[in-house]
Amino acid sequence: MSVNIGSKPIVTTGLTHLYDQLSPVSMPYGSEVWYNHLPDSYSEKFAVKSKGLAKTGLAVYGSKTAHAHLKGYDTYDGSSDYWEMAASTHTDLPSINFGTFIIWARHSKANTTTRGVGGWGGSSNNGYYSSFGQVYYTASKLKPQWYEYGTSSSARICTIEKDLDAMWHMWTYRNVSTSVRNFSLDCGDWGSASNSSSANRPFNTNTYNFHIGSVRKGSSHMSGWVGDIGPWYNFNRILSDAEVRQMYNANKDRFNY
Amino acid sequence: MAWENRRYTIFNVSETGSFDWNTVLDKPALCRTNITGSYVLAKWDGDMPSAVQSLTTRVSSSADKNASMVNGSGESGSFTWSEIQSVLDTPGVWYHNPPSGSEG
Repeated sequence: MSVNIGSKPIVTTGLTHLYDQLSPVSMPYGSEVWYNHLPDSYSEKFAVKSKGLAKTGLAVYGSKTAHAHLKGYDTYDGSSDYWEMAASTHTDLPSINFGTFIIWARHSKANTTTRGVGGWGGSSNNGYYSSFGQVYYTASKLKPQWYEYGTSSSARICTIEKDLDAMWHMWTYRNVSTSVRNFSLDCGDWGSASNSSSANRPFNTNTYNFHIGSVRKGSSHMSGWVGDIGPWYNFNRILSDAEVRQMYNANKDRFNY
Repeated sequence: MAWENRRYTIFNVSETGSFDWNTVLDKPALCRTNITGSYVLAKWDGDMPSAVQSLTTRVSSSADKNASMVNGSGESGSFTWSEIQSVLDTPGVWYHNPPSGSEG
């Protein structure tokens, strides 16, 4: 299956979700819904637990304009800008059990608050049962981090020990195996981190509220993204380093020019 | 900094049912609330909409209901971008304390 949304060829084997502002299928002109570019039949064929789904609402900005399509990304002000999917159920969230999640994002560096870029939230106020990307502010640095918790004793956190800049980066989170996961920016060119905790994955009935632009934990959202977010992809399998590189090359000229 | 013309308000959840959400950028089903769910956030660009002006429970811009002090922007119940960030980024009020960022 080929997918042409204006970029170079991307990896499609195991691809279950493709959300891209440039795609008139994914984000139709005048729409307030952000759809999966892929048809349900395709997603169902390759998904572990999920199928293609439309988001359940848009917090701000209203109908999408041609300008948003030309830009190919959305801008988030860090207050209540986010896309929320599968608000209250687990069954239809796009699970990444033993898979790969990729998202393009640019932080504005407007401030130094810990902020979520997107991922799976959980029912716990403590952040348990969740899996999401964030910039974690510590030691005077905004460190890119993939935060994954089952319970208080099952943390699986990958932290890149660098201060995030204000450039576009492709965030990639992979479950390399049942006991190893890897998090990288720009396929490791900018930075990467691994984690080998043997803790179980957090996905269960307490995991829900998939978001782009923020993360919901328990009764509230964490601080939302300040900056821009472009397309995101969900695969039901672990992409190889070469495949992650292909995904990066497909869009690097779109964002870093 | 962007958002120079954007303003924010916080008001009691009791007014969400009668509030005209078409005048602001947020959607009622997904609007952001504080931890306890007692207050909601709404925002707009430019002049304050009449629907916002009509709210009777708007929180003062000099201090929110949880005593997280911010500088007022000169219009009651109207926060600037930097002011609202000060409010929203207060742990334990609008979001739960961030978890440990250490390697697990």
